[in-house]
Amino acid sequence: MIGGRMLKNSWFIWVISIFVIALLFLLSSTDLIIKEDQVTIYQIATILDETSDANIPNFRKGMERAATELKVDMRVIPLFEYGNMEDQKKKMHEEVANGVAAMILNPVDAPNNLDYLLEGLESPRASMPIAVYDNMAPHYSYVDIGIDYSRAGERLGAAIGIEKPQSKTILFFYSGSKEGEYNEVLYDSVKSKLESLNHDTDLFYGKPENNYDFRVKISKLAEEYETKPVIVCLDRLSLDMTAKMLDSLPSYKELIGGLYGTGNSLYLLNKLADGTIDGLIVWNEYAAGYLAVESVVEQLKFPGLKRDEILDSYYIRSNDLDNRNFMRILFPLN
Amino acid sequence: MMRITRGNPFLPKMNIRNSIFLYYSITALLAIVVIGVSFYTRLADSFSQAIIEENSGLVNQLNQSVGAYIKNIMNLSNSLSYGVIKNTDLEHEEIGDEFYLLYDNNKDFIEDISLFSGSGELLEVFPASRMKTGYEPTNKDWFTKPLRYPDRMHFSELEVQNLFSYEDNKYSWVVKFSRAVEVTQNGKSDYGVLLIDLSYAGLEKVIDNVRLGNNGYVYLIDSSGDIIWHPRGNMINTTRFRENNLAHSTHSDGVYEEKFEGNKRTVIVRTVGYTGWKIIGVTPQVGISLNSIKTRWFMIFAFSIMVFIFSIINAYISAWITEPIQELEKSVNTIENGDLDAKVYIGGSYEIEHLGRSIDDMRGRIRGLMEDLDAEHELKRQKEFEVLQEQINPHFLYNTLESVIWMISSENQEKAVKMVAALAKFFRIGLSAGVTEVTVEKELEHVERYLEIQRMRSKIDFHYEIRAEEDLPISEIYSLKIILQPIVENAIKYGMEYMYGDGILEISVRRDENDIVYTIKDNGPGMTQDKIDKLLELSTKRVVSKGGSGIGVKNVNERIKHFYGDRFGLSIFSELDEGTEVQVRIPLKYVEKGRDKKEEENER
Repeated sequence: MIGGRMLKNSWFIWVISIFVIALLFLLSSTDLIIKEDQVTIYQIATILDETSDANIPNFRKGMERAATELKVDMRVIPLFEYGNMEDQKKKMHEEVANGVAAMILNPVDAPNNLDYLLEGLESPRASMPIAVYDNMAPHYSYVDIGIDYSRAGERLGAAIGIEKPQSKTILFFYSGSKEGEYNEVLYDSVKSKLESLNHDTDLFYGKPENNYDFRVKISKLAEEYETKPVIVCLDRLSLDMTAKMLDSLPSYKELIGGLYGTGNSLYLLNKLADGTIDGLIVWNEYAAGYLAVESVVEQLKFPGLKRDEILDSYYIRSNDLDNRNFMRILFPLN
Repeated sequence: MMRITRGNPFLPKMNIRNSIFLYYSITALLAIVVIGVSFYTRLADSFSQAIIEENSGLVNQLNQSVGAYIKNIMNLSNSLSYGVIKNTDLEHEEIGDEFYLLYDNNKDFIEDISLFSGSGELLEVFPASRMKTGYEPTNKDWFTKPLRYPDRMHFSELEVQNLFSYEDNKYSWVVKFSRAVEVTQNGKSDYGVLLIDLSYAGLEKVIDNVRLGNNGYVYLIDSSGDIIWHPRGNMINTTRFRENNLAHSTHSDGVYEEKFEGNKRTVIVRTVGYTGWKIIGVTPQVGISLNSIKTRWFMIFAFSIMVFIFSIINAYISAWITEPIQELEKSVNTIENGDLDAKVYIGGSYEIEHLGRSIDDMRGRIRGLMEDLDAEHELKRQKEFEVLQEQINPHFLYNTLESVIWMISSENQEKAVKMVAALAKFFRIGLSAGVTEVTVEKELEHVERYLEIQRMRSKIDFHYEIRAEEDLPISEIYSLKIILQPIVENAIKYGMEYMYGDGILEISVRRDENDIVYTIKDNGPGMTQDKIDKLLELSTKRVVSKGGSGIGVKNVNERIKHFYGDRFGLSIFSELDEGTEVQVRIPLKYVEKGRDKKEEENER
């Protein structure tokens, strides 16, 4: 048969060719060898050091945007009580037991308690991707979405030194579940800057339930200090309470040399606009929320990939609120 | 004969089948690749163009939508300006209801409507209730520009609404639309400023639904290049996402190609009327997506299938063409190796079949020729063998030696010596060291010795004469040896025997133009024509002369014809009771110089 000898002499080449084509077919047109990326919807829980996510609206908006783009089922879990470490740990372990794929955590009394919060998580959950927001110090195991408080403190200290040279004393307010637990990085940074400018510094703790402690303290400032001290709040809660207190008692504004702090809430920005607060350290909380979700999703897709993010911080005053760049950072578009 | 070889010195020598397969396959592959690349390029270009045209259409539509939105706002301001504010003395009349009505009908895209006097006093506002404490409008662009250019309408940049007080948990992004209006207070008219805060949400509704295929998007910039709306608006200028808005703001309307952050993109720019805004449509590089690894494998698979199919077809074609040639080649090889009985392959295409038939015919002819040649050689060999055999035929020798013995015993030594000498000479000339030709002189001497011996020993009494033509150089002319002796033998036996002593035998040689003619003539009883014919009949059988020297007249004729050609040979003329004449014709051939000496040496 014509061609028969052709086939007989090189039959093995044809057989190999058929095998190769079959293999290529399996590679290209079936899922037996190469599996197409499946769209996976990840469940992620966010547990913050807040009693309501309304206190961090920009962070929430950033998380929601990322959740939409990256197909994430996001749950935001507030604490019953601000600064309640046990409550936060309990909620964390509950979410892990519910089978959540990853977690975003804003630890209570950071950075000291992260390991405590994480201890007791059963393997393999112990290797679950976790993004830690505003921990004030990076952790070797988890993605850190943080703020360079040292740099922020330098800026704030320098600004206060320029704006309030006449105030001899700088009084640091802080609040939280425990006295003695405050943002040490920020405190040390501002303190050293101000002391280098020959200011005295002092530290005061107010309980988080209400602003009574701060009110009493302010009422006695004239007695305790020669000049009106400038108040620097080391956390959003203390600044919030102090601003509200000054709102409700405008006469107390006369007792202080100025009010500074950190925070991005709309209330604080309004207080900055109306002059209640003299200066704020702010950062892009929207980006923080977005990056937190993005980082844990990246870790879920590529285990071992750890990409920390340190956000830029800015010192702003009321006239900076007209700056469109700050508008975009502080007032994310809906 | 010079051999001509052709071939590419750079390519290895391949058989015809592999050559056809290889060249066809390469040609087919090149065709596939060229067609595939051309088709892909063409398709990709057409696809790109179609996408760009479609996206341009979408951007144009969006431009019209935004334009309609702007025009709607302008019409609204015209209604307020000319229909409400201009004809109202604000000191005595309220316009709040009209503001409410217009706001209510357009609240999807209006945040606030407010009216200011030329000094910056807030005259009317809805739905906001009061200005923010400390806000000073008279140093804002939205206020000063309309008063500077009363005939124009002004759009501000996108900004957070910071004019009016709201609840603490609310803020809104707005674009401030402002224009100068005629305000009447207490009968006095002056320019004031009508301000409409356009809500970002309303603008977003117009733009957000537009998607450009293949991961494209649109965004809106103001006249200075700042982004008004972008699908990734909040992530702009972070480490994650950047936009080339400042460069885009410098483009006039049209379609542009650019490379931004390593990605090729098509950018469509359209300017929105009245505002100076630009709609920018961005489409990443269009093409058949090869990003999927499975798509790449599929391309390889499709290419492999085509290569496989073409290979099968090419292999079949090359085999169909070349297998008959190979079969024919085998047949030729077999014939070449000497097997002329081998069967020649006849098949394949018309040309190959015809070639096969021709080779088969040629084989047959070669075989026939070789058989004829073999036969001829065999005959010649036989003849030579017969001559050789005759040369050592024992009967003649025995008889002659017996005669010698008898002569010696009869004390006839002289005669015996003569006979032995004649015998020796006879054999010496006859053998001639194996040569086939001797001189005419030697041939005559040979037959003369024979006659001498026959005269001495034979009871037959006869006379003989041998003569050569005068001036014929018989020692310089060749003759086939032992051609006269058998004829003379025959003449003695059948001619002289019956003459009872009166027999005469004449042997002569003469030249006849380019031939030499021997003539042997006797006066014997003659012979019939039948006998003559029988004598001259060519035979392949060995003819032995009985009792004589052995070689017959037939042998002589055949040897002459084989050696010289058919024109030469014997001619017999006979008449009964008269005698017989035999003529032997051979060609005139002179002896080569040097050959003489060799013959002499042989004789010694």
